[in-house]
Amino acid sequence: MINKRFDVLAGAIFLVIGAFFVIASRGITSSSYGSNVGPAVFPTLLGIILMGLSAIVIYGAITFKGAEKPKSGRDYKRLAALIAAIIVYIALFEPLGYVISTFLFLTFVFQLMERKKLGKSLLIAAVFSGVVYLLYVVLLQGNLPPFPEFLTNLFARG
Amino acid sequence: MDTFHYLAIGFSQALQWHNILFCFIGVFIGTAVGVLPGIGPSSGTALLIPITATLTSMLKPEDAATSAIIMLAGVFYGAMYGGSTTSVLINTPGESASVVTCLDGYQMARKGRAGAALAIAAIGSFIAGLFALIMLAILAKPLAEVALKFGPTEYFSLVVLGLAAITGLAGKSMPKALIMLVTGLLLATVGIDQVSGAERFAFGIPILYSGFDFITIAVGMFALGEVFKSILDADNGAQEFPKIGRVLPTRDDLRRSWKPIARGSVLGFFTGILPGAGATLSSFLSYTLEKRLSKHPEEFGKGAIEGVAGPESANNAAAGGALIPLLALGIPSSATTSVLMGAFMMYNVAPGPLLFEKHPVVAWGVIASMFLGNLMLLILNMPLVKLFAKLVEVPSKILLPIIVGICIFGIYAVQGNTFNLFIMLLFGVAGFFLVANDFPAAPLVLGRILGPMLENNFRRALTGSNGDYSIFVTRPVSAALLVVALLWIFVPVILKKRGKRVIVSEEK
Repeated sequence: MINKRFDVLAGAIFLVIGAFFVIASRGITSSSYGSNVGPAVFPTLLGIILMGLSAIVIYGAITFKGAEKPKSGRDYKRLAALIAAIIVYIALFEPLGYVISTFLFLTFVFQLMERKKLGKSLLIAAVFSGVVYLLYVVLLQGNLPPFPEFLTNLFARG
Repeated sequence: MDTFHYLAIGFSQALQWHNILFCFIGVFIGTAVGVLPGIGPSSGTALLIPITATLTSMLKPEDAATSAIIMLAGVFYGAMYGGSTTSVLINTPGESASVVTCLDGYQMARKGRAGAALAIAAIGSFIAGLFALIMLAILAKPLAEVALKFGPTEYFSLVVLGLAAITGLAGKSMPKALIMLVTGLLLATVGIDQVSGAERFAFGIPILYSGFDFITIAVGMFALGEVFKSILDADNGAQEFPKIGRVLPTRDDLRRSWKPIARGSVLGFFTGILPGAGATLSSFLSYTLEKRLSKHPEEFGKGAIEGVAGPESANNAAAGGALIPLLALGIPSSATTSVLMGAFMMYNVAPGPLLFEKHPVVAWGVIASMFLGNLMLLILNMPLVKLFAKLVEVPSKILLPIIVGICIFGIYAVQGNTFNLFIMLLFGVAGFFLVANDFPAAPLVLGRILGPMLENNFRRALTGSNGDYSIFVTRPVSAALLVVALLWIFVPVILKKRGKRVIVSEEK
């Protein structure tokens, strides 16, 4: 069982990726220094192979006669919300610093999974972000985005 | 004699206190990864790489590599032990190699014999693990010495064979699996070309000069992709939990199990060496074999202890066997070993024939540590199995967000920029949709890892032949390897056309 529309779409995207590599390979400054075979040969060959394979998948999907995958009534809204939350999380990762952005993200996603027990969500989110930061930055001297400047200034003044 | 000498060096490494600790952390996390259904050995290993990188940062480069690989290998074979726990207790395999363990293990649990099932799984795993290790210690170096005689032409064909083998068994559709493989190989070409120094497909964007890093892709496709899938499947119903009871097999259990354990060990080990076949397939084969050989096949599926002992031994032996092509040839044979290979590369210790010559301490240190690790696992999985069983009760609504948190933390810790976080998310989302539609993730990650090796040997071979492509088929060893590679791709296709059922390895 396959999903025809997805296969055609994915096949088309891979076809474009293959074509992109073939075309972009021609722009590589081709000194074949140190080798008879320049840096463009390998990606060009692979790009052509990828285009051929994509064509096979598209053809297979179009001529497919069997039963299609039934549409699953699964909870795609929750998945979309999670992906959106990750995008916001990454965007705020450096501006807000590790602890605050992680705390906000985890609280939101815990609530997304189950709309109860806000206190428990807040607690686990705080413990995770705090412990990771302490262990990694303070103990192991690793690098994570620190607290934002306006906050550290506030404490420095007080 | 030689092997013993090297093993002694290995043990002198593995028995240093910090390496004992790393080994313990590895097998402990591995057991947990095996127990937790939302996370498999490949995503577990990928997720742990950034953390090991930090933990080992204060050691000297070669020591750091030894310690890191000891820990990551521990996750790999530890997961094989842990996976059986959930199969037996709640009929849900913790990782795909334990699928068959559900058949009889869960039935034994329903009859109140969960403890015996878990015990025999742990004992079988231990014996199989030791067997595979001894074979690994004996076979790896001679095999590496054969491979050392290979020129670039032969090596190119060997890599092609490795890629074909994993791809051939990776999914339901061969063209789709090949598409993922070629895309992975193409991704590997982005950045500065190592041979000529030319910039490829970066378009003057500095961050792309170093290309798409394997760890970003692996964590995105394996770990995030799995989270997205589990979010859709997450049901919040509480699971009923059988009592474990006495975690010791009876004398009768042992009498019935020792032959399946022995057969499973040998079978699993040789299946594990074959690229692409791996632990899942070996456990299926062992189950079929035991059922066929049994004097009372009607008991299978109703709680026959042979049906637990055989497959659980086989999947552990396969995990050990899978390390042979990785260490000796530099060709990973499964999704998890390809992640391990990426870890080697991060420490500038390339696995392959030269590993035993250039970095004997790393190679033998890891092998020796596995003796230790298996012993630890026996203890973790017999007396302490009840503790780990509690992990099953961690609800996915807490676990899944935490895994996302670890993905983000891990990639930022290694890469130090948010660009890679977005790339990881991109691969996670794309991977989720692709995998759901039978485009397997493992070939893409493997392609990204083996791409540079494939291209370098390709170009060196052609330089040697003055650009004559026929060199790949006129040199006998190379031609033979390519023929086997082609067979690996086309035999399953032909079998499928003729209506045969082909066992597909869906290790993640």
